[in-house]
Amino acid sequence: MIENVKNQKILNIINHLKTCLQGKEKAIILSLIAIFSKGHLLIEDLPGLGKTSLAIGLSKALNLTFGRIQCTNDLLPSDITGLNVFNKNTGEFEFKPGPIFNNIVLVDEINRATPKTQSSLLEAMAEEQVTIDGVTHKLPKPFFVIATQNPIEFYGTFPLPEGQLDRFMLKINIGYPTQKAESEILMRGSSREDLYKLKPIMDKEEILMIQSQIRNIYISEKIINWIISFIDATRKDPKIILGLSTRAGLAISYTAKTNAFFKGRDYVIPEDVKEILPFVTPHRIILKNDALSKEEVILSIIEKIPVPP
Amino acid sequence: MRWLSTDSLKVDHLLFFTSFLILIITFLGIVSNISIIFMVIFLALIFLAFLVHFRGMKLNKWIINLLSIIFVILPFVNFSLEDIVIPSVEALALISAVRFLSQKTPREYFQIYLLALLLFSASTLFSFSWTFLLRFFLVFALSLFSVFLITYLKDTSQQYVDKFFLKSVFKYMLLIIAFCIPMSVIFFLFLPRTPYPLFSFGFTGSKTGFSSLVNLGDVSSIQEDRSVVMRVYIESIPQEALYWRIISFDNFNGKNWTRKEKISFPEYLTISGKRKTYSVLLEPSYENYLPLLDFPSKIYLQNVTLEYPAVYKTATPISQPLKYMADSYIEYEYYESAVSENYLQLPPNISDKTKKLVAEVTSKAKDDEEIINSIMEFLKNYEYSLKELPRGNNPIEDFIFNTKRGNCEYFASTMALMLRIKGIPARVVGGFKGGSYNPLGGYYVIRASDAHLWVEAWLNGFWKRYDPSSGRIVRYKESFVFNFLDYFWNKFIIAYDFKTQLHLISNLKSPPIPFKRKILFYVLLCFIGIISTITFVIYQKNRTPLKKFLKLMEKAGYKRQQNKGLMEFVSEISDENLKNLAMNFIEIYMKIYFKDKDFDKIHIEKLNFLLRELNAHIKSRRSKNKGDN
Repeated sequence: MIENVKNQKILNIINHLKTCLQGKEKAIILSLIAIFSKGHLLIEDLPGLGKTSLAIGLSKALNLTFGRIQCTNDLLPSDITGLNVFNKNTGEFEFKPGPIFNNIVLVDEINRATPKTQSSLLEAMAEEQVTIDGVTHKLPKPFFVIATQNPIEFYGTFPLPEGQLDRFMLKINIGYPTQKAESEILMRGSSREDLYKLKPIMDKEEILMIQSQIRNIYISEKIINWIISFIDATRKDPKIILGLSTRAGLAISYTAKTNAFFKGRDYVIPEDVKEILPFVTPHRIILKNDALSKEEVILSIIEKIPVPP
Repeated sequence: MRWLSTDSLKVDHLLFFTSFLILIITFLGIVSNISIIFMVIFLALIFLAFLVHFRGMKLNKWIINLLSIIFVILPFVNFSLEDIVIPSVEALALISAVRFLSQKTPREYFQIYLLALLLFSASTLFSFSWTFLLRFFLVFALSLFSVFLITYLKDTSQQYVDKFFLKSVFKYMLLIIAFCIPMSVIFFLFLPRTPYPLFSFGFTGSKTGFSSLVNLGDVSSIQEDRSVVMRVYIESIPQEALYWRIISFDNFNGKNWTRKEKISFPEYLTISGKRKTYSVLLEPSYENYLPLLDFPSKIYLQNVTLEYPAVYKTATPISQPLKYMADSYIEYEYYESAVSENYLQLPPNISDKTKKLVAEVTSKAKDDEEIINSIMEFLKNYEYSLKELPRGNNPIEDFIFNTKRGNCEYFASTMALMLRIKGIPARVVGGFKGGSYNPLGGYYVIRASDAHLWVEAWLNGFWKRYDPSSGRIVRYKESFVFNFLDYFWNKFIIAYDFKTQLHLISNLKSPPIPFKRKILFYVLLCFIGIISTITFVIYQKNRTPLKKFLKLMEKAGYKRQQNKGLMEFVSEISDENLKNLAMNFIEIYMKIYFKDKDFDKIHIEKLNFLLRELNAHIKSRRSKNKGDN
């Protein structure tokens, strides 16, 4: 169970966030896994389920700066990265940073942006830097993108190809809250105000420290081999056209390490991998038959591979 | 060899090669018995199969069917009812080669193996050599391997296999073989067998015996054959006395020796010497004459007729291995009061030149004994050779005057001829000379290459043996490995018949067959060693804490699936107490295992302690359940 967090620090963050993000525990944990694995998160969900709330809550609780990009089809790359503006007073061009120069960036409805804008965003995500007019600007650390995508409305959108989706470490959907959580929300009204008032519980330095701690979590060759045979199986499976890449393998091992850290262990066990697989892998493969569920296919493959020991 | 260089091998090629080896190994068992034409056709078909396989050629189905039909009919074109085995075997060999040629699906491969199995069984009709065991093991292992491969190909439709796959296949193969060996020993010892051979119909194999007619140069072809002719169980005796007598000849026409059927025994005959009793295990010779140690006095075998002088003849040609006992005298004195005129017969075309030479050679001799010695001395100038033997119209004169080289046949014939010219009765005796002693089994091995002819001359009433070519023949020494295998095979496999089986069952305490205890001891030791190593390895594998844990959990009714992680497995347990205990165990276990640390003593003890706790809990739970019921 992914909710079974045992690490005290992480537990504190989750409990803190839970006060104003009712019924989103799983989404919170997965977002935290993405942040601490130095990856980015893609949320595919219907509007009005609290994507923005989640992003704001995270930034407040972790004491990080927050930027938001609402994508439309006339959004330009410079609207994201920022641009050089002529300053009359100094008579020089001055760099005006875009919303991407924040620790947590919410890219809403990423599939509404044109491919050109999408790719400039994805490039910035991968490189963690932006180059404008020949000058390279480093993005702040930690840097974490939460992109959202609406799975229902396709009219006038540019869905991200799987090759681009590969750049998101995790893809989740928040889903409807439980009846109990929903009734609580309705009783109390929107808690957006509370969110903005949320007190920070951690700072940047601590986040960076935990990130480097997680990279030192021990992962045995036995598990690496098991992951590799799984990746290999996805490449050979007749139901799949495009199997998992090496980047996917890296993402699996990073997130598994983070998961192990959350569970209070300093080594990875197969369950850590199994738990995060449904969020790390399905968006990276292409099936022959669209009618099948990617997640089901992935789970059926991993079920066939013997687990060590 | 492109396909060999990569890490993964193509299943196709691998299967092709294993099947090729299976076919060739079985074919080797029959190759010396089938006719040369069919051997060539077989090899050509195999070669063609290689072309077809590696060039990716495709043959029409009807061509293959036509070939099959032709090859079934062809060997039977000129056959006799007595000789039905060879054509059948030939047809079988050719059909399997044709099968090898055609497109190969798993079904075809199984057909090839079935045909190979039939061929293999057929090969036992021809030979009982220990190489059978070797071939059997090879074919067995290879067939197992290819069955694995075919199953793999069928189940996964993967085109390539890698090292790991092959490794695991070999592991299972060894396991199966290790299991089969003790089983087959048990079957061999106790499965009922018939006291009579199942296939007693005859066929003509390669002849290694002497017939009643010997053309000059015939024996040399026998001498080039290395196959074992017989084994004689007897105490070790000096090589000079080792003459195995089969037949004697009296009539010489210049080109060949024959024997007159009816020479009657003389009125007065005595024989004395050292008496030896021995038993002979004779391989099929397809002739009627029995080899015996010179000079034989008695044979313990039914339906054998004795012809003068000491030629023992069976009623039918010997087409099955034959065992008999006999008595012989060595260093004997053989007296006859009078001899037949036949022993002075001369070929009609004998030249004056020869007679003159004989006179010259024996000019200094005063009596018969000196004549013999001078002829023996004269023949020492001649060269012994198995090659380029004179075979013209008058081979003896060719030998004496021109080539001056020949084998025992020429030496013996020349000597007998010269003695007869000088008026001394003489005859040529055919048989074997020498033999290699197998100290393990206490028997002599005599090979076809030991075939020999020598002379007997009647001197002052005594028949004496003279061997003009003795000391010229270099005998091949048998290796220890051969001796060992030969002994083992013959003693324990071939000689193990219905009688010994009955004996074994009725009297299990005492060893049923006489053997050297030491050898049995070593064999047993090896066997026990192998079995105990295997069990130890399996035991050790099961002794790891995890295996114990999983066994315990299975006892408690929770079986772990291969695709479940330990934590996943334990968290699904419904019994809370058991779950906690199990969780304790796997937490410690995983901490060591997934951190790639070695299990040291403290850890093992700790784990074992937890296991005991678990065991106690499971036991108490079970007794509680019983109480409830």
